[in-house]
Amino acid sequence: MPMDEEAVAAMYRDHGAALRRFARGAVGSEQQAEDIVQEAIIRVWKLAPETTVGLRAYLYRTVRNLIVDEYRHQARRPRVVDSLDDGFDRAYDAERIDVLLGRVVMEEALLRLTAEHRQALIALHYRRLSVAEAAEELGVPVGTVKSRCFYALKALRSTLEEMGVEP
Amino acid sequence: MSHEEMRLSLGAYILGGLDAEETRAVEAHLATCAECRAEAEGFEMLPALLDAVPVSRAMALAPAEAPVEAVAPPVLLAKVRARRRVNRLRWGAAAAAVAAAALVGGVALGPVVNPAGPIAVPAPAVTQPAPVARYTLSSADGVQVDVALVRKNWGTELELSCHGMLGEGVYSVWVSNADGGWERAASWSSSAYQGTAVLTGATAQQPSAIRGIQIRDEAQHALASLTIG
Ligand SMILES: [Zn+2]
Repeated sequence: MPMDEEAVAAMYRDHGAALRRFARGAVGSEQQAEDIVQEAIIRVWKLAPETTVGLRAYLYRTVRNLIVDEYRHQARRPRVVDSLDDGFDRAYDAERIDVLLGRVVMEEALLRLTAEHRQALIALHYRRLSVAEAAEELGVPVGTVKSRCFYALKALRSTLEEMGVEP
Repeated sequence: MSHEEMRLSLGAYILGGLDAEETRAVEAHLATCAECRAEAEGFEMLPALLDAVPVSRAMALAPAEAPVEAVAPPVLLAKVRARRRVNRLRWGAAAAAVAAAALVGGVALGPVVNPAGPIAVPAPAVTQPAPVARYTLSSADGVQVDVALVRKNWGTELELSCHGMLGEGVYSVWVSNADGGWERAASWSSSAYQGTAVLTGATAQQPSAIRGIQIRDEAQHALASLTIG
């Protein structure tokens, strides 16, 4: 992997948006999130990895560490507990940042599924619908809902593996 | 139901969407079919991982578009160009350098553990050579710098961990060669750090050619000095 502007541009292209979503959930501003993402990419570039295998996981980890460190630095200052516009409290400590990381990684994985697979997981897992209820709502046969659930989990597993997460 | 039908039901089974009768049928089949058991085991962790996403956010993803590709901002690429030009003299950015800290003495990245269900983010496929030597320099007024020398094709990388910096100031680390010439390997402003500064320095000299290491203050006074060999 050439460690130059092209490599950095590729890292940013492939991982920038996801990393920013993660960072944005934990820091105060878009600009701060952007700065952290850029710093993480620069760090990884400086290490000149010879392979891109596991790069996403490593970038997440670097962003996570930068955020945790940021909070450690802020720890002596008075805390103002505020919420993001999506109603979630901002992550303030390492533990919550890890929860956030898990969430962002899974959201990213869900986004990589086809709309049909994602729909099936949302219906059964998140909305707790039965196969029969989901079939009725989606207007497809029961067998179709079952096979979509099966292949959705298959796809989710391989997406997570691609992203460097071992389920 | 046939094995194939049972197999295709495993997703709905794991997600808890089957009725009681179907659930029993699947469980009876799992007891006798190793292939389906292995398939089900591969899915087992997924519901816990999915729970990391709150229901409201998951629902919002339903119609979502595929992840967007981002275009690297020119400022980022400019930084890369700038650093490439000075590859003989690199040092960490002013932002805190936790990632670099994890690399002192090799990659040591723990797994990310999510209380809602473990997510193991594996250590990256980045191998960092082990340092060839480690030294600690201490100044009279309490500044302490741990230095690890890592051999590189182009020279030596210095992994620096600096503690006890009093007040604000610009510090630098210098290395000398056999001819007695000194070269700056890294510098940092203590105001960018609280407590510990972790950064990377560099020199074109091979580790074996380094004869001395110094920490200097802003006025170029040596705060601590070390002779090697
Ligand atoms: Zn079977």
